[in-house]
Amino acid sequence: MAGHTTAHTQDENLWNGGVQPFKASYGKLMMWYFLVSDAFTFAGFLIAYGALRFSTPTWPVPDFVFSSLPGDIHHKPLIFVTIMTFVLLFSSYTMVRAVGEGHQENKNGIVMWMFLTIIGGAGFLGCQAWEWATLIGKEHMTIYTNPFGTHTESGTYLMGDGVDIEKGDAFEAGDSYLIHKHDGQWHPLKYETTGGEVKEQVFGPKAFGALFFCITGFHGFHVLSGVIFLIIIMLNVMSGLYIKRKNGYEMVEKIGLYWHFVDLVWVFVFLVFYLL
Amino acid sequence: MALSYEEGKKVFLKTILILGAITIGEVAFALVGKGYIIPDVTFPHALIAGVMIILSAVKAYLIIYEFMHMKYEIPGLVRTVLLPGFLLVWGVIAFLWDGNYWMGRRDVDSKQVELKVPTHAEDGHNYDAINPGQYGDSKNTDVYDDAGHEGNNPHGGDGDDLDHGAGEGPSHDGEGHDHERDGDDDSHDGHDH
Repeated sequence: MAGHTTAHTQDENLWNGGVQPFKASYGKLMMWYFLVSDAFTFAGFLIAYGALRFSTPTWPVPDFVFSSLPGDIHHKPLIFVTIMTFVLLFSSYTMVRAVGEGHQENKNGIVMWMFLTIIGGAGFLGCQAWEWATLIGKEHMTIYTNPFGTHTESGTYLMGDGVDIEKGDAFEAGDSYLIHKHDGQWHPLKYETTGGEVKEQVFGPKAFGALFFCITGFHGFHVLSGVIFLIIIMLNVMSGLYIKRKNGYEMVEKIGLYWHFVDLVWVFVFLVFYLL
Repeated sequence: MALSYEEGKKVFLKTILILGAITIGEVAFALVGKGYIIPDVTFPHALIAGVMIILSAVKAYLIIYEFMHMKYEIPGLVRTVLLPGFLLVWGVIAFLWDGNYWMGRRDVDSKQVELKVPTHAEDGHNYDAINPGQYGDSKNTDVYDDAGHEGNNPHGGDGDDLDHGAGEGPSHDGEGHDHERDGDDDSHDGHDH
């Protein structure tokens, strides 16, 4: 090795085995690469969403579809989903504090912050469950039925729906509507366009229901599995399993990476489904 | 270099407060831009979309670099994780573009444009692939010379004695070329389901 420069020698030492080239343990590195692969999966879903949405002439307007809050509150667009985002961001903060406590080898601190993270994750799941229950139970949206439509021309309604539309109400192109279902029957309203034609409300793009439930469901499944893993690891921490490993509670850091990934995916799902 | 415990606590608190503020800003901008706060004042959709995407990119940066500790990792690790991520972003944009193109195609296809394939070429031969016959017709061609060598004709010179043309293929005359999509026009607005 006498003729080689120091840098070259260092490189040889770095990649010849026995040394961590990225200064990260096997578990942490593999967690990163698992997250990259999971990002590909979610990107696949978002690509499907984007391609289908941009290929349809109209799409349900998010602030119309997602405008209720628990307690029978309506017409408050995007508020509930903002609360969900805050819950998940808060849980990311508590997670990063738990990792910090792990580096200090402070067992009680870890348990406290992980417990708060679990509460945040469970809260997010509860909110998502409420959202699904409302969409499925009250608005009767499924993966193949989408009662949220958008008008493509302006006109006046010829009948009311007993909820918020009355006979004679006018609407414009771009206004959203919800077709109501009573007693197992759909009740699309008839309307007259400004051109004088009488038409009936049609269902919105079918893909909306499938995409919404599949993507938020897949994300919710990640949150659920994250919460389960957090509980397992928190119990392991409490039992003292990680003390003898002397690696600064690296397991907490690894599950922290997973949890932040879940938060990151939510940032993009939130953007794509609700804001754009 | 990684942060100390005390420094870490300060940085994380600052980061989460910035993330919260950005979220509130995003939602407020979206609500104002769509006309919910000040009646009848809306922003163009492109502006809302642009601001949303930039703010979400900032949030993603903060989560990855601070919370997931990427800022303090070895550059090699950073690149192996982020480069595929950027390629994914390119992929998403590419498919949004494609989706938009599909919308244009939908309008064309929905007018039932029938693509007619000429079955009689200028040299008089019938190159119809469905009913080829020998070369589709009985007209003898000067594509192969009289000595029987196969020249540059489509079916000759295959190197075997198999019957390549006659009697082959299902008979779906007239059905093969129109672009009717079967069953999958669910996203056409204005059609009853």
